[in-house]
Amino acid sequence: MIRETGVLSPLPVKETLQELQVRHVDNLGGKTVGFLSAFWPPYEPLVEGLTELLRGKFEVAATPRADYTGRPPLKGVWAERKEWADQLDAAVVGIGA
Amino acid sequence: MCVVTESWQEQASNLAENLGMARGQMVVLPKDFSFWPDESIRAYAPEVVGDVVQGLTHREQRAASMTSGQSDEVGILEDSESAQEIFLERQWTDGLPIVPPTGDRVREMMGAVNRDPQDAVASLAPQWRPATIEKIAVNAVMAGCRPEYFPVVVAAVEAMADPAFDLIAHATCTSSSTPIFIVNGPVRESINLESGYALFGSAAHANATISRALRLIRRNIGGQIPGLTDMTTFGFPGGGQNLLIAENEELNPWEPLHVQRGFRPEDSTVTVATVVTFQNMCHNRTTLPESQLAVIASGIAQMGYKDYQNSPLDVGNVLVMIAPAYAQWFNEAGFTRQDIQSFLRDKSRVPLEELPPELIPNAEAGGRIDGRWVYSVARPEQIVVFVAGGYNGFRVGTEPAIVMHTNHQRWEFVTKKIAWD
Repeated sequence: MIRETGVLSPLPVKETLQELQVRHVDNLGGKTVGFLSAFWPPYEPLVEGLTELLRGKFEVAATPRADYTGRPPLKGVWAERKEWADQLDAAVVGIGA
Repeated sequence: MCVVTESWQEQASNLAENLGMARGQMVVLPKDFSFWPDESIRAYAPEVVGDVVQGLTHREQRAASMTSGQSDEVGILEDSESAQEIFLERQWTDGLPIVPPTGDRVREMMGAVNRDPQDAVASLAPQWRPATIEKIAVNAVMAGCRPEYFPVVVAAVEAMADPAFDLIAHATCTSSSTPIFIVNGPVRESINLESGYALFGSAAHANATISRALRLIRRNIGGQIPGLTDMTTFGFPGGGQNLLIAENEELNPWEPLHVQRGFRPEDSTVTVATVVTFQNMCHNRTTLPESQLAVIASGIAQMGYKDYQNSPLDVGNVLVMIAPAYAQWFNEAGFTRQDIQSFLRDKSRVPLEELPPELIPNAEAGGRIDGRWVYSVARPEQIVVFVAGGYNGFRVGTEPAIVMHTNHQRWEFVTKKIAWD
């Protein structure tokens, strides 16, 4: 009940409504680990180094990459991105520069 | 899991948490990482691979923290000054005094629309929080809006939240862009929206308070906080305050913006676009309409230059706001609105040799190279023409237009109908 002289907060109220659905992997052996680049061209050499280590030391089976730099989530890009992610066991996302 | 530089850590943590991810699922790199030589970046991989593996195999299941738009009081209004202090302290304002949003004021504001207070108009980026009628009304009261302005505020929120506008990019990226709102139709006159003299920064109450409300809504409901979620390097002057205007339809010889966009002349609408740069075209003494238009085109070409760097595809737009006297002059000279769009498109170009070679593929992919010229936009319709400003009667020596480069990458215009009788 809002009182006439009660001053209201301009922020939405926080509350816990649902459990997040997360897929887990216990180890990376034989798994597919994707690299999703949102805006990180300078990270390419890091991705190359990580790819080499994940495949060699942690026996990761595949390390596909997707570059969405400059592509907004419009006109099917979201669906395309989700379809790509659904094929993975785990994903690494780069943010910022 | 995320890999992020130190400068972006707070933003990434905040946004991830809002989506229900654990803050621990993040590898943080030094803030100057982007400037390292390639071989140093590659050599850094062994330093972080353990954290990457830990993040990928982490088994923390946590509840997603969601929000609702229900009311919550922060206290009883004792006096206006104490409310100011509370709101300033909690960083709920734009730094200026606010009208305390009391229950009776918020109820009166909501009375201007026939909707349930808990009806969520949209989820607003970057924190994807519900913009309910009630929370929109709270912010509108704070901004000083009158209840009759409220339908415009609600429609503008719907426009900003449309996926085509891509508010998440506006709200989080480094660009110093800001939304601009253009109102058309009968509502302009009913609430005295300024479309004439000094419409950017006039004393018009409706322009000033509605634009302020939209700024507060982006902050308080969307969670667009500078340095936390909003990484704009400089910000737009005034935070985009007063960038809500009306088209001067009465002095427009062509069809107004909302009719261009498929609405009926009697509809009231609000169109949201993005402003990155803002340029007054002036200091010209030409007396031919074609020469005046060429000056406007030069402004588009000048600002279009950076677009070559940023657009992998050609999706940029330009807003050209033509002063009423010049619009009528162009019309009398035989220019339709479409003629002007085509003229400006063909003249807004720079020689190909001025384009850095590494940027040519982008311009080619966007269809902007033709012979020895690089064009600012590929298609005439990407130059959106409308009419606003005061009628000063001059056709030489004054400002024929303001050119606004509305997006440097990809953002689209969105027009929504205002629920207005």
